[in-house]
Amino acid sequence: MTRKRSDIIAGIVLFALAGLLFIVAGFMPTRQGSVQALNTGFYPRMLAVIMAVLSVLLVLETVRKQGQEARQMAPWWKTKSAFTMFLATLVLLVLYPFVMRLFGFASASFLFITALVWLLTEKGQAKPVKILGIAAAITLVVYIVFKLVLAIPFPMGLLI
Amino acid sequence: MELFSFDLYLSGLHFFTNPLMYVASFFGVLVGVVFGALPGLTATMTIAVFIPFTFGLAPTISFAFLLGLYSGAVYGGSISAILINIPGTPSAIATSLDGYPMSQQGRAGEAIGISTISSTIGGFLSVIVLMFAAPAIASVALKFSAEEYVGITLIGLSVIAIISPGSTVKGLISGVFGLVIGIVGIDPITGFPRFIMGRAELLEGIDSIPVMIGMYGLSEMLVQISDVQYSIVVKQKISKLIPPLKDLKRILGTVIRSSFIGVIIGALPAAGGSIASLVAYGQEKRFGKRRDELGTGIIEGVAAPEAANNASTGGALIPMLTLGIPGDAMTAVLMGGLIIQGLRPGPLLFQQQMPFVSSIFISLLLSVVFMCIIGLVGAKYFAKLIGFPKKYLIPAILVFCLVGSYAISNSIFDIWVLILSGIVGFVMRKLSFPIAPIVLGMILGPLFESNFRRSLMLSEGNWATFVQRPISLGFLIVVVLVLVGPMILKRFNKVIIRGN
Repeated sequence: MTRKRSDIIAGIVLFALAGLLFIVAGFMPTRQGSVQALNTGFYPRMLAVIMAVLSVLLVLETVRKQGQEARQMAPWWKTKSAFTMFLATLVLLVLYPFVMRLFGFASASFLFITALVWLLTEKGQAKPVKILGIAAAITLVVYIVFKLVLAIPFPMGLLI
Repeated sequence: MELFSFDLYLSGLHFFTNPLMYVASFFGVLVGVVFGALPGLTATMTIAVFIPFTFGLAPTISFAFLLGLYSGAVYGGSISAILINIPGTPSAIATSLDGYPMSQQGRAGEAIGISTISSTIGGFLSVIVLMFAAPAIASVALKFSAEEYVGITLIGLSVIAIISPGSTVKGLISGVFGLVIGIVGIDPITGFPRFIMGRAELLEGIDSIPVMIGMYGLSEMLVQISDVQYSIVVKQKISKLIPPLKDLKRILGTVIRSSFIGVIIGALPAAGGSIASLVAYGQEKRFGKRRDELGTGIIEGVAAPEAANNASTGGALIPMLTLGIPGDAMTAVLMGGLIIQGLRPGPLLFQQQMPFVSSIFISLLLSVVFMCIIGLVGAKYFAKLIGFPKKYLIPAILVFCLVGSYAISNSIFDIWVLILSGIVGFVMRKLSFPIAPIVLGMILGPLFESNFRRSLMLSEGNWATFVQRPISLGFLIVVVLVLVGPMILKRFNKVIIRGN
């Protein structure tokens, strides 16, 4: 996908979001006869209009450029390894809060770091002892800073 | 408020009998320099990721640490710019122009030494300007009413949209997007909850710290993960760090000139260290004694941008502290750090929290001193850290983001806010929408909304109120000039070129 096409799509999506904001803000309570600015929906609606105008401008600007900047976007999702890495990181991030609630924040941090370092290490070079050691060291730092020094009350997990 | 009363400078001195102030400032600078020197970790991100650390501390100690981070990270960026030609932070872009050639000639130590001394002088001068300008501006700002605040906010948002790299329209969209994020929560005037989706956590609005950590920390890490991996090795020996007297004499004029450029540009709403250092380098190229040698690796080329970017730190704090309008993304994040301490920056801060303001001045001065010492003594070791493998760094920073976001209000909900903002930030970076206007919009949103609506209420719905007050009208004219000016200039240039 070219930068041009992605900008046009971004403009259309933003316009749709602005429309949605405008409609939703219309359901907010209004007071008859008073100054408009007093109404709850007034300010969101104003922002929605500005956003809509800007997204139209973005599309116009992009179309008017006439391909002079139609260079290929860095196709990060096309190189398989980069995309898998990205998705895997997202999955790990989303799992973190659940693991934290289940086992405690130190265990969650340890598992998160171990898994991610292992993913980021080139295949064939992974030395399990080194990865576990580094993950343990980073977790220890996090534990000392947040649990011992800052005394943050973390959810009680099955472990720590 | 009495102008230039010595109380403003001395009333915070007693905080410095507490050794923790020095410890906080020292560690702030140390961590700042290390993170600033690591390529890919910007100063803004460093401050955002470390704010959760400060939150249980007293405001004065927390700010000693954060200002240390700020000075240290802005300076630290120069180390990697010089050694590997990759600026550690955006504000060190101009430093690599002469710093890297020096390094290729085997003079890396010399370049880092010059950078350290210039940053120190720049930082020092900026504190002095801050100390005198801030109370003066604060006393003027006390007379501002809602209309003027609307104007200043608009100036901030339009300047940041203009100077963000790429399309201005995209910059403005980012800014409005930030304002939209600011809508969530209870309506400040009617008390009606907006877009809270049934979550009690959202009643007071989306917490800005997890959003900032997500936009700057998490999304940057996601970008780096999806990028091609690269490894860096620094082989240079770092020596001759302390510059000889004749070099210092040679750069003195450059440093002082660039420092003033830095403070002034820093103080403009939304224009920060990266612009300051580029402008200072440009000035050197025009007026410097050795302008023809610039780019080949001369000490003036390192001194000018480094003096300017550290001078911009004090400058950028001026609008943040006196008006509550951050000077750039870094000060926007710092402002987030003030707000979670329950302090609202603005002219009233100077009246009601004088000892705290005073401690900010002294802390900034202290951080400049530590920066000089740490820079001259530690540069050798930081050079080694630049090669620290990304595969360990990225997971470590992500865990700090996750745990830090939780720690702000002990809520798992904030972790979700973090992850969502990280993904949104990632998509926006990939589509080259600038991030800084979002953060600025989000921070300024509530302030902008309440002032805007209050103005309209008091004028009974008459929009003319914004142009009837002279100062407010002046601000709005500035907004128009900022947004339309560059376009007209471009047309004008085209006409001239055609005419010729």
